[in-house]
Amino acid sequence: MPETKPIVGFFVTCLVDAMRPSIGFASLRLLEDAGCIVEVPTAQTCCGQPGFNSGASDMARDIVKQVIVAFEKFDYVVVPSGSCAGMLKVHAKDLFEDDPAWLARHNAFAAKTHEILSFLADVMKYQPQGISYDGVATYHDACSGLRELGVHDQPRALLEHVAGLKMVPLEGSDACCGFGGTFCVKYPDISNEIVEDKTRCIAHTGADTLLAGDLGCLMNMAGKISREGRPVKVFHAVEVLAGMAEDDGICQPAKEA
Amino acid sequence: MSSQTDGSTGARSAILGALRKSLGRTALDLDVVAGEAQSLLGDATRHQPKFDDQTSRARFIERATSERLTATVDEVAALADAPAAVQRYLQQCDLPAQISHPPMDCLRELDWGAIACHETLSPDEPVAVNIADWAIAETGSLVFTSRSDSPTLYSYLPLHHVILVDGGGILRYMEDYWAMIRAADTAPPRSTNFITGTSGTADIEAQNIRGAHGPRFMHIVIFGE
Amino acid sequence: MQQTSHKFKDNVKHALKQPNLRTAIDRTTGLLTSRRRETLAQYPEYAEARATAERIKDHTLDYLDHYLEMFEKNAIASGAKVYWAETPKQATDTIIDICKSHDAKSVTRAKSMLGEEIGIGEALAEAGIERVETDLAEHIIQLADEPPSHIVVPALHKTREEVAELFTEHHADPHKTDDVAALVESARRELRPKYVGADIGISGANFLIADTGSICTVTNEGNAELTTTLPKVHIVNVGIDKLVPSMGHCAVFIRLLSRAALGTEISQYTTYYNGPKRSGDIDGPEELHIVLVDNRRTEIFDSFMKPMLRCIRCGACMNHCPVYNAVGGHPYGYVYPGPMGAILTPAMTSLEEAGDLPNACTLNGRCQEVCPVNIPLPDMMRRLREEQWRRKLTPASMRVGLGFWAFAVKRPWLYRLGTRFSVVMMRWVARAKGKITSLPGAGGWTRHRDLTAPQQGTFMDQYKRGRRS
Repeated sequence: MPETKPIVGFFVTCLVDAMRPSIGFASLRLLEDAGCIVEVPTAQTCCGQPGFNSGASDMARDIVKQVIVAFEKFDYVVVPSGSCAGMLKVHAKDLFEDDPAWLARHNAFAAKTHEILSFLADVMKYQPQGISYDGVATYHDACSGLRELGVHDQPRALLEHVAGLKMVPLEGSDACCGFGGTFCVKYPDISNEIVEDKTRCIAHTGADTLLAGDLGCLMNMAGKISREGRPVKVFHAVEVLAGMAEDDGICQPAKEA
Repeated sequence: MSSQTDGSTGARSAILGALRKSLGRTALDLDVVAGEAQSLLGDATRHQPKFDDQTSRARFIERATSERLTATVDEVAALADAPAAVQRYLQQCDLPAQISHPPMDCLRELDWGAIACHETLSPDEPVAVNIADWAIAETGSLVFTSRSDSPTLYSYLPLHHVILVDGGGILRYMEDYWAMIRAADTAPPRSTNFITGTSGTADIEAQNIRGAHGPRFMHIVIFGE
Repeated sequence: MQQTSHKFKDNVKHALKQPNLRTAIDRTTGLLTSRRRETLAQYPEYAEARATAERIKDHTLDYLDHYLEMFEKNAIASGAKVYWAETPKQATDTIIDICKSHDAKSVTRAKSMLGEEIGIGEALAEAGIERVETDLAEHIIQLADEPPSHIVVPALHKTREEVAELFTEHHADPHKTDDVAALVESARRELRPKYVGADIGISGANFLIADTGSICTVTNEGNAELTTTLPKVHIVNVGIDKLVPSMGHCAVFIRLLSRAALGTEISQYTTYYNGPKRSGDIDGPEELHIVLVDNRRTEIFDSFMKPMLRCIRCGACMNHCPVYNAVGGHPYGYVYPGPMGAILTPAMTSLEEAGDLPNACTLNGRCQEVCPVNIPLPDMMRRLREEQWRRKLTPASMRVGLGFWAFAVKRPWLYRLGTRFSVVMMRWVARAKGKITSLPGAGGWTRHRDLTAPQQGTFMDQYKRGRRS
């Protein structure tokens, strides 16, 4: 753990910003609790992934540059999504293959960019305290975090410190849920076949809660779980870790005030 | 065929030309290429599966008789004892005392006792006995090479494949066989067959079934130490 | 084969309507992936072997011209005849000429994907030569008159019940049961006489060994050896990417191939052929002909797809691909399905024809993870999308949509405004249900699943107002 309080630039991600700000606020709470000073630059929008994965590299390059400019002053850049973090940290370098100056700038930026769960566990050696969650949860390893950033043990280690939470393994937890960004709307029927397999495995665990570290995948799985009427609550892992998962799960009505 | 040959020559220069253009390379130092190729293999023990705690013979038997390979194994003191072992196998399987074997002197010279031997091989040969050149401990494989007294089909046509192999001929790894061949510096035989268990297929619902086209049963008689 | 990649979406619709398809796929890929996992757990040296294999292939590609010539020289010295073909047509012409020069009536064939690539089946039919597929799966799909749906187990799309029906209809003396062992026995009985009666045997090759001029085939059934040893002529059709420097190098791949493909340490039959029958040999073909085929491999060689030429055709990428597992191999509409097919199909045909293939992928990365030679498949999918974008092959709706998106994300104030507006709209549609069950313009999402309602107020708005946790 660093000696002085590191200054973290928090990259909210477009989905968390629009759909589920509670993931962002849970992240802020955890980062501060872990000893960071957190800032949220207002010049941020998206990581560029929709353009990048659609082959529109010029568009993606402009957006990544915008992110680098807004975030390179921080000690760390933290992202509550493996896929956006993977985009910024790993894939973005492909965009600067022919531009040594930007490549160098990206290298420095990539070195300090982290997905939040691995940042909390690996860099800040954080352990949540006094947090409880009453339930049996299973964990889905979202693909980008798992394969591009090696996020696997960290969320499980963090969740071990949550009182009352029992974790059960998910068969095929490393198999794609069928989200794939624009894939799920370009090929909805294939996506549906894949997510149906996933929700069947989730139901098979008997868990009452599904956790993961990527809102896109969570929205996909929660949407299917909701459509199938399965009694499973869906949260981002940071919501549980920050003690903010007593409210509405993804795709569930907000509790009346 | 002559036009074909011209077409082939044209294709040859087009393919090699395209590769060279893409590689953009001028001179080639063949010693450097060979050295690089050799160094890639490096220390083979780093990528060979280790079984340091097992003798080659123990590993070979374990693999050959595994659920996957389905062979049965008998061990006898010397090649001269092989006919008795074959006899035992035939009786166990309730097969007539009749075998086909390749026209090898070492097999002809054995005293087959009550077993009737022939040296022809029909497409539906019930039982054939032949002798393997070597065995590979790592995988439980047997190595056969084609020679004038060792036709290839003995390993493929019969339903029961009975193989005699010298206990002193069990090599640890595939590479040990190739190193030996390389050291002998002779041209490789027409056909070198590494055979590992019985003919099988997983083509219907990935279920492992034995006796697809080749032998359905394999019996290995290890002779000598 | 008739390519249908351009109708990918229709093909998918059709595949999803097949009542038995998912059962057939799941039965096979389920077993293959679990066996692979088990066998690799017993091979702790796997990572080292995989890295070595990747380096060997890259080295061989770096000197491919040299190794091809070395192979050719040694193969000729062993008594084989070597031919070169740039196109599928040249390759089949060469093969048919050889067949005709021997007045061949019947040909047995041991499965090779390259044979499918060059259309050997159609070429033989046109020449009036009987073709007998000897690989059990190829035999099944020959009877069903269907293309392969997998590169290792081509009849993967058939359940045992469907195979039983086919055999009952076509075999002279079938077992009337769907017990798999009985089905295999029925095929053995049916094919036995055909092996003996064939004039020519055609096979592919898993590896070409440069320093000995050897051909290597790897099979489980033993059909390759019966095909290549019984007839008086053996023809090998093989891609120029199959080279390895020596037998020692080949051993590394032998260890990886069966583990990746079927989850076994080694296949039953690994055979190295060197030339035709020698004087005094009792069996073996009198002639061995080797046809080296390019079919645009030299173009792949010169592109970002070059690592694709490392491929050893194990099929692990498709066994682990969620898309392949959902729809099977036929929707891809060409010889090669799944992730490796999504690269090879555009490369060997065209990006216009196969435009859907690199897009019908979630970029989850599992294919590369399980690839025994570490081919960066997801990265190549994305680069193909980039090429589509550059060549304006991306659908107009996508181009326009992304244009708007890029315009907004580069202007944070505009982006905030848009987000705020969307959130309000979605919350209005969702009302108190917490979810949206149908949303105009988002049918792709809501047809199959609900869309969560956004929480009140975007993160940025709340943060600006002072909320911190």
